[in-house]
Amino acid sequence: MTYDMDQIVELKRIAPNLSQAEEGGFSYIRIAGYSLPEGCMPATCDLLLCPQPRDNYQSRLFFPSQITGCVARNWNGNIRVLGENWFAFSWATKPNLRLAEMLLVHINGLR
Amino acid sequence: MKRSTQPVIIKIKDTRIRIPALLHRQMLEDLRRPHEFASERVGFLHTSSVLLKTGVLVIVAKVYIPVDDPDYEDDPTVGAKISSSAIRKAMQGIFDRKGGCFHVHLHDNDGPTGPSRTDQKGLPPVAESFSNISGEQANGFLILSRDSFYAVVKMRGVKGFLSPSCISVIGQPMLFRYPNSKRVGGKPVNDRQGFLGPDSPYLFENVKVCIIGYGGGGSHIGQQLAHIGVKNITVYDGDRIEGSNMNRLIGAWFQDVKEKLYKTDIAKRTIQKIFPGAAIRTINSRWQEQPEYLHESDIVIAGVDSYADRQQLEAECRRYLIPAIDMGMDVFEKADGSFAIAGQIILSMPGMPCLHCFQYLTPEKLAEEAAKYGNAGPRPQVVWPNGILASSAVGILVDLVTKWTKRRDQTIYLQYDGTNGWLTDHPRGKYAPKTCAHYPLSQIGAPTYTTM
Repeated sequence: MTYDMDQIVELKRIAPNLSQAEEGGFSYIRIAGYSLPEGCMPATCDLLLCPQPRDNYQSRLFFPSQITGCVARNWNGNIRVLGENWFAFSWATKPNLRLAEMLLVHINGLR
Repeated sequence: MKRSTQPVIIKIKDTRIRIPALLHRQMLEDLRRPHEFASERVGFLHTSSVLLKTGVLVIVAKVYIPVDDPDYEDDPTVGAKISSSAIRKAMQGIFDRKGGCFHVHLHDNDGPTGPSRTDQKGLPPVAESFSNISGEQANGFLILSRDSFYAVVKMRGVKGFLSPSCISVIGQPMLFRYPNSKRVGGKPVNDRQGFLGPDSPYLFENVKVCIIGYGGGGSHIGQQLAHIGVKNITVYDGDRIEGSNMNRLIGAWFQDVKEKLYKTDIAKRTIQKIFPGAAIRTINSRWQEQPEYLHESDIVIAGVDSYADRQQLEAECRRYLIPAIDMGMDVFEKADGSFAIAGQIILSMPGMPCLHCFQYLTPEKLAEEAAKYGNAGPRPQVVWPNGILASSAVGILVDLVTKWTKRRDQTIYLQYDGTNGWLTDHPRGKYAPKTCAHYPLSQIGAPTYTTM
């Protein structure tokens, strides 16, 4: 999957360390060392953003573990993607968001 | 802080090499092409390797690159002499692909093969050179015969060279070779299954089969594999038996429910009572929590409950070049209030159509299931359709291992109509694309991320 360069540039202003990979027809953006909102544990972690519809969501954001110290959410765990286990909470986003907005809408689910 | 100068010593207890059938065919065809003056040809097999927590090194082949004609040097004393330019290109490939590399050539005879004196002298330094530049990746050299292999593997941190315990070709037909294993003679258990071929006892002794889910389907599988003589069986299931399982879990006793045994305990007891020599490994969790035992396996048979689990399992198996046989059944209530039983058996063979290609997995099905949070509630299950589907899955596995039907490159998507007792080819199997766009060979091995 290819992304508009201006969207990547915009996303990099929030999350500079980006890389991408594909699996099973889905495209994923790995966001390395992202700082989560205050109080979250862990405070920093890698994230995996699936910016296309998946699992009945317009997009999904995966975390390496269930995040604590934030609002309690409905978490699903040990979802295997790209050879690693990930966690995600139920959080619907609108379609056609720009990548940066998509990430922030997901992250706001932790507040 | 003082830096340690001690080299890192890695312990590897087993090495397994997996080659997609497409690459195997490509190598044989390429290496048989005549050259203007060289009497043999050479190529490079680029690989990705993962050292599992269990100490097993799994090497998957990703790309085969033939040596260009001008990169051969005219030397009548050896079969093929390649220039430093050929080696440089292979090394560039190691950098570009962030993987390992194997020098490959062919001894065009049937049966086992091995290195000539020239090979013994010339090839280990090539493997060592590759190892010096490829970090933690495995490198080595591979000699093909028409139907077998010889390989040695070099890993940084490991003294000397490793001899792989299994080299397999992943496709239809599959090819398993166990260079360190002696042929085993027929036992009485094999008397009535000799038509599976003279190698079948040796293959059943060595092949590693993984059963995911020891429920109504998986328990039939365990029992039948034991009867066949499959020795190495891994069983994943994190559940303990309940009364509601007793209508279909083969080998379960009433007392087991009282004792709240793990289903894997029942698997071990059942299999070992039939085949005391079996090496059973039981994992009381989902495979995602301890995936390394799955990665070691040669073939997987899965009876999982959800589409999401199937999606994850197939992705993982494709990555590690493991054929997965999916089986499942459901009971539906029809509009007139009567019930129908339906099911499927699908072979997901790396390089061939996947569950998405067969349209068994669709975004709509996955979304609908996710909307229910994957919880469809307790669904009706009965023993006899489980038995039919599991028996058919075992039949597919035995054919993959022994090749007794001589079937080649045939997709397998069987649909089961339990109301009428029919097991037929699904039209989606017939009309599926021949190659899979969802899991290209370029994506096998450890995931590689591209910097954005």
